[in-house]
Amino acid sequence: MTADPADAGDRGYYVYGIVESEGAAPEAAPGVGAGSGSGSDVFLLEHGSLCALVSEVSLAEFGETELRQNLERPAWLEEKVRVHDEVLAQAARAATVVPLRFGTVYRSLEPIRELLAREQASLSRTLARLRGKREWGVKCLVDRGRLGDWVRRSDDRAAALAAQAAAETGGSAYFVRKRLERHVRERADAEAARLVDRAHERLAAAASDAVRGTGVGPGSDGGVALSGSYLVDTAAEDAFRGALRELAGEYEPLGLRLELSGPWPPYSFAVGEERP
Amino acid sequence: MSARDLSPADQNVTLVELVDRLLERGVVISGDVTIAVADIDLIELRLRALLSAVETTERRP
Repeated sequence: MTADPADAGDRGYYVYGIVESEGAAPEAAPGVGAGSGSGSDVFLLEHGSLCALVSEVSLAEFGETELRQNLERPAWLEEKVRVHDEVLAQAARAATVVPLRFGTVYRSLEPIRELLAREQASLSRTLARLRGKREWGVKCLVDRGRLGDWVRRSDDRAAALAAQAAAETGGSAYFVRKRLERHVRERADAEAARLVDRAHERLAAAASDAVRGTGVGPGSDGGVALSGSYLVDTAAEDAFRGALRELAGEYEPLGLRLELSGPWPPYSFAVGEERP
Repeated sequence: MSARDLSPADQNVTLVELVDRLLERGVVISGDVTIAVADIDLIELRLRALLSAVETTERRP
């Protein structure tokens, strides 16, 4: 059968990630192009011991220029990242996956086979490192008002300033109260930073690998003070969750909330070897 | 709790997490089409601005 020449230039192949050939089962999952009616289901492209998770897409949607334009449409981006994630999440339930970055597209299948051949050794090493492990995300959200209340209750200096403010009258009471507020704010910031560092250390100790995201610092009001990712062996998940529960219980009265997300495909650890 | 069964408000947070992971992490290979780092920074900035705007609207009584 001859391919329609008018069609050939429009077709691209979107790559989600890499799995081992052994035990890899084809997924009947719709690909990133399916929502627009121009793409295929996900299929496995095998080369030697590795398989790429691939689906056909239209270059009218995923070509260089078109992709850049589409990325500026939040609704489009949301739909596509969710599909990308769902494909990898489904694959990760059955096998170890090396996730690729969103938006990797080829014009033909041949360079994907070449990639599998060329990167065989490093991809196999990465797969071995990720085997039997899942990624979990933990965010720490700081309620600075509540943390400040806790500082007022527990800090000696704050108690002394409060007592002094109560004893003084008029203008001097005002200035003592100002000093008290500043002291509480500074103590709360320092405490938030310390508690967040400690939470990350504790969680990292219960994980095989850990990375700290570039979350908003503890200075922001009610902001995220920690955005950590943890690679956890499935056999160690109970211990990891136990550590998280313990921290959550301990931190809750201080106004710090810990939120768990996942399991994620190991997005944050696919390039772990190369990380300094 | 799994990230896959959250309330709509939490879904916003998850979307940011998802975009962080999918666009900033993962193995980069040179496809015929790939997204440039500068584009990724811009996308994330826009998305964060958009989502915080949504959140503000929702919180309004």
